[in-house]
Amino acid sequence: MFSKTALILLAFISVAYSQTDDEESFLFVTKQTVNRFIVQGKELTIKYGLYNSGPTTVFNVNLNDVHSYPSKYYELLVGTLNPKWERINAGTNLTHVVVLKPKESGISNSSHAIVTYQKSEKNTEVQRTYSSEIGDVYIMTGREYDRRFSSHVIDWILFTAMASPCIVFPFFLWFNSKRKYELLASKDKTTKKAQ
Amino acid sequence: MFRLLSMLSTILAFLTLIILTAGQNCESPQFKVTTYSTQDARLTTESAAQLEFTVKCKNGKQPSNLYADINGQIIPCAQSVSSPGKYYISGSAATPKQLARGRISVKLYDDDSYSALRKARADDAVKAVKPFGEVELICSGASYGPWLPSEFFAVIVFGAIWWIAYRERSKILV
Repeated sequence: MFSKTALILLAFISVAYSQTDDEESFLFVTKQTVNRFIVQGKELTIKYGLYNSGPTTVFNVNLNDVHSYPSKYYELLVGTLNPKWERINAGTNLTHVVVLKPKESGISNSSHAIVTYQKSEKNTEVQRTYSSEIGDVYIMTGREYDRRFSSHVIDWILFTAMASPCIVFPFFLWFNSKRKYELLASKDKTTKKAQ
Repeated sequence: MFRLLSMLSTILAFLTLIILTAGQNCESPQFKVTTYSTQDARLTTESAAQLEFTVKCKNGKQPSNLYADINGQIIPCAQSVSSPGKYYISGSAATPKQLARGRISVKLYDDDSYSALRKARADDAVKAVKPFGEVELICSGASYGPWLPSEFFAVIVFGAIWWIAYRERSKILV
């Protein structure tokens, strides 16, 4: 029982000391994709979230993620992979959205984004932090995605074209024989009437 | 004589201060805006939108910092490192309804109007602060795919063909 209280006391002291230790802020950066699937040739939306925890403003924030998405494999559609903010106030939550288009399919790995910032306006010492990473992703080919999600109109038209001989040929047989017998029946009627 | 000189110098200093600050401000800005919003809702879990704009000032100066008012929260705009002069405002919405089809107006504040906004406490004072400018986010709305799937039409067409054939067949077989 004594050790338990000692432990609790120790925990309290350590928490109190860690909180009052530095009055500086720390920037948390998350990087995630909002896509359900990543498809070659379709838009890939990446969302960077920056959160300034702590009581002070951070200055000169620079996010660099150019190395994760080389232009050989990804085309940049919207946004920039290298944004900067002059200042981020305490407790604010920022989002930055980038839309890319993967050029190739297969497994791809995107690493952390590098974020540098200054903790105070005068102190030019640059603090470097890394964002979370998305890790290995599978980029499916356009054909795989279409097989599941496209509207399949062309497929149905082709199907109708291929199935139409099976339908049209018997239809013509029936139609011709029906017309022949109806003609015969009407001829019979007129001859019967005449009789 | 000495008092007059000191008064004159203070007035001169005051005037130069006004001129300097007036020169730094961006007069009558013009915005050139490109907007983007998520188009395929089946591909993404959240809708994202982004405004990219450039500012052109009459006196050729660029505002150093711009803040945007999004849903009541004032956030700083991102600037591009590689191409200066481009500003970005991004946001994402968990439900596509928040970024439904239409136009959303976003107010922009520069350093001066932002500090005025922070000083204002009452709601009226907040509304009275004149924004630096206003840009519009044009949302095209995210699509969930076609209203009726093509399989529906295929079923209708082939069902109709079958029904006609069945009707004629039952006439003959009776």
